[in-house]
Amino acid sequence: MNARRTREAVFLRWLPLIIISIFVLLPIYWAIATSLKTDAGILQRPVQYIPNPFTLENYSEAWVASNFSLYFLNSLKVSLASVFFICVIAIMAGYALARYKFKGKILFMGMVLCIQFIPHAVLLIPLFDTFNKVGLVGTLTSVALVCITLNFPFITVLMRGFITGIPYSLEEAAQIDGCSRFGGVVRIVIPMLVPGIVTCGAFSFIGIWNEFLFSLMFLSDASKYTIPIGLRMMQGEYNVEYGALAAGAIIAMSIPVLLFAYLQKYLVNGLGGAVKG
Amino acid sequence: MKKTETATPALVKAKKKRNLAPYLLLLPPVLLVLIFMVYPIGYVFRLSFYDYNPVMPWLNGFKGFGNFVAIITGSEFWQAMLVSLKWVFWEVILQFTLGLIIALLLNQKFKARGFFRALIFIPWAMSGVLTAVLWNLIYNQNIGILNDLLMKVGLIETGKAWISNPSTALPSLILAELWRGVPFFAISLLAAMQSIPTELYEAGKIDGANRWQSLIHITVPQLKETIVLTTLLRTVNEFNSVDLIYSLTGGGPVGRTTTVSILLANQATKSTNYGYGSAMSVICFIILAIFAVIYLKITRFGKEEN
Amino acid sequence: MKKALTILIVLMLGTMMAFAGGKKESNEAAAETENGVVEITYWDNNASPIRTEIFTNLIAEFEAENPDIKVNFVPVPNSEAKSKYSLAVQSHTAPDCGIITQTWMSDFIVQKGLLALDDYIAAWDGSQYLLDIAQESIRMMDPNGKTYGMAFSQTLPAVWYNTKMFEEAGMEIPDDWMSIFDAAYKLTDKSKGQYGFALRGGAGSSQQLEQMLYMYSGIANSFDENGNATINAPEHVEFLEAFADLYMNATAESDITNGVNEMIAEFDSGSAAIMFHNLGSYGQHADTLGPENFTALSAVKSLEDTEVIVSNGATCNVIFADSKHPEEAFRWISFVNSHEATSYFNREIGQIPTNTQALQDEWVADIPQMKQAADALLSGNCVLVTLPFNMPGWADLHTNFAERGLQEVILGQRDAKEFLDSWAAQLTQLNKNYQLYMQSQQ
Repeated sequence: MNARRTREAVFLRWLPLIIISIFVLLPIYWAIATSLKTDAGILQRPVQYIPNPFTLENYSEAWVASNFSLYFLNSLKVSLASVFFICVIAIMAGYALARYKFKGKILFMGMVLCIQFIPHAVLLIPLFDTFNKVGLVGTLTSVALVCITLNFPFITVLMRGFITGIPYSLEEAAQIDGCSRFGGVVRIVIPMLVPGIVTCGAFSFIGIWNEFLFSLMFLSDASKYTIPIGLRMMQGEYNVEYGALAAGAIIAMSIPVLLFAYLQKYLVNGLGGAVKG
Repeated sequence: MKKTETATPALVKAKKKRNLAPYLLLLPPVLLVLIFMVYPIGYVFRLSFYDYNPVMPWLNGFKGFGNFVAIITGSEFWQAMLVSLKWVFWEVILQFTLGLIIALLLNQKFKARGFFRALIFIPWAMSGVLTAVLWNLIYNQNIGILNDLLMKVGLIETGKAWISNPSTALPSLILAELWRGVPFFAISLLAAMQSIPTELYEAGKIDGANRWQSLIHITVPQLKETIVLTTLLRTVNEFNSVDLIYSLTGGGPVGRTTTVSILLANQATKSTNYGYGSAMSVICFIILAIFAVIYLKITRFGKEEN
Repeated sequence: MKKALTILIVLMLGTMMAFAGGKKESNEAAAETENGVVEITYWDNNASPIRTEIFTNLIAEFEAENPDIKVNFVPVPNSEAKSKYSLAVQSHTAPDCGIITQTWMSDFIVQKGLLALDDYIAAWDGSQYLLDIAQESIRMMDPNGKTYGMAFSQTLPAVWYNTKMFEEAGMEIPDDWMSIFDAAYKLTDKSKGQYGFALRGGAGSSQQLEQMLYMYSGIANSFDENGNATINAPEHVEFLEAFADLYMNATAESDITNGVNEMIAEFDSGSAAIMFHNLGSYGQHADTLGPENFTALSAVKSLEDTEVIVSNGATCNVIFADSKHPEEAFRWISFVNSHEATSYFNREIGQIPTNTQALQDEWVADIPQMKQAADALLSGNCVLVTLPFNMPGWADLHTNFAERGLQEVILGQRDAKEFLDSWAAQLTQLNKNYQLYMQSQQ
């Protein structure tokens, strides 16, 4: 029995995990190695597997010379504000779609899908016009608003799925116990929705954290630039600062990765717990 | 008559409340769309009937269906459409399959699970600029790590031009995009698995179902909604994706990796050929909308929610 | 429930508005501050950490001399710079002034987005040191001959040689195209992963081809007296055929999709001995190959036995038409165009200053390829060919037609002559439409 279990663990868990990890890790390792090499080392033949000479200069260049600390703050502001609003909108709208029958549901879903079908690049000019008329162009708010508008549709539909997965009977039980409907949502739905909220939050955060096109077009003040714009500056017309670019991108992705590493523990079966409790 | 009305005021009120609540809940997104999306989308549709290029004002003017006719009758668009279809098909299938496997693996309870979950997440978090530069360095014929590794193992003798050879260009791009796209499926499916009641598996075990059977009969049906949605969204995303293709091959060699979105980016962003570009977007929009309707019908999406 | 919802929605919209309102004010506070200091905005179209540092220093110096002006520097990443500038011009949100490459200029002139600088230049005593041939080429951008920009830097197309590889093979540096191709074949050793030539077959390929064609033939004008394009001249067909033959025989297979960065990486890694690019990549080669191991030639001998330099567009300062402070903007850009600033900028990034005083600076003489280019530019004997980037649609033709066509020719799927003929026909048509339109506008 024990031997069988070990064999199972090896073939059904560790072996596939290791193969997949290699596929995932190889480019990541290469990014890290690149960030620790000199420019000559990066373009050297034969290939340098271990950075030699090893240098941390790329990190200091990315951080100091490119004003990263400022961009970092701006990116955080835009991302956190957008993610917050997207999640609130998505929970509200997702709840409506999951729990109510009403006229116009199909229309709403259709509208939400349609937004996804138009390539964002062609929306750039008219969106810019719109924000320009309201006088918002050049502000982080405009970037956040665009991010919210472009990202909420999918998140809403996804959230609807998560809410549908929570049995309505639990809410009803709470209402019988004297909760208002809103109270039932707060006490029953939200706690059980945590895996869904984490997923939706991660999805929207990643998208917005790395958003480049609209940020660059809407912002015309270096003090408001976000990280993706800073990274693009490492790629000039005639040369790429490979090392600094890799270092900058690694610094940039550390935030979402650390955030997710922490939040992933909430990706556990919410139902199992609820039923037991 | 009057009696019934007075007899059920509470019920009527409750009903009214119920009817208004969903609209109130949907108000913020609807407002956002009305304020920020209606004009831009309308603008794109309107422009598709015009010749509009600000730097060539002598050509500008109403064109009726001229742009559409030019696009549909030319061979360029259909060649690109074929590449787009291949691209989207392989991306969605491979990303989904690999994503599902990863989600199943990471849904088990074991030590270091958190570590692997975070690891899988990384490719997705990586900035698009670095992803492109990185894969360029990996695939490089002379200084690329892929050729070097394969040569060391003895699988190839001389370095291959992965992204430049007409026969390997598209598959190489698909692999790079696969790397970046897998986490999306892995995490969505993993999250959706959290709401499958554990009793279902216990019941399945009692009925003598093995792992494979419980995957097919319990997990997949329970995930159906998420699967349909994520695959649909990925289809749209991949159809519109340009950045990796652009920086790795620029659509070459000789159009082997020119997708519709690359054509579109060339016309509407690089050149300022907005009328023609808008018409192409409208055609893509229609194709995607038709696809979505058929796909949702076939998969009977949202049918069994009640 | 309903109440809670209403409150929530009102709260949300409220925060959004507050968020929006607060930011808006701070944005509008720009333009002019109360104590009479004028703020002007200056965009850089090719942002990089080093350029930002250069301009930060220049601005500090300028503001110390001109306490009534404050310069807002905005670096714009090169990959999307053209789109950002275009959008700004179209929507009348352009900055006061900025850097553009000459190849964009006509697009903005057609949209009436730029300010003519003739009067300002005439009144500025530093203008006598602006390089004549560069300014002449800028005047050609406008059919009415007005000056819409001041060049302060130039990156001439050049042939780069890995001198170490030439020495090892005991070969001399060739100075005409057919000998360059010969050398490329001789220096190719596929077993060692060494190639004679790094060819650019991907993005930007056909623009480089156009430059090489005119360098080879020595034809000085892109259109003949009847307005027909000269791109399909028989010499050009001959060149393209020889050039296409290089592929796979003297180049790596991957060259067919090479963009500029991949091509440079090939040269910098020592995989390829010869590359055609411009002088702008000097800094990167110096970092990777070491300054003593390479050289460049920007005036290659043509068939006419003349030394031909093809201009790929100067880097110019411009003032945008919507600027509310053109006087102050000109004071700033004339500062950037001055001897000291031009010299400092170009020395730091390794490009050619287009200022006659700066061209005679010591540091220029110290870098051989720079010295050679400077001598050629100053001598007046050399032919400077300006490609028709004054014509809107010229660049689009490259993107949407010529790049793919060139790939087909290189892969042997298309006839070189047929390709150039087709290109010429489209250029001729474009030129006719443009001339007609410009005459109608006068």
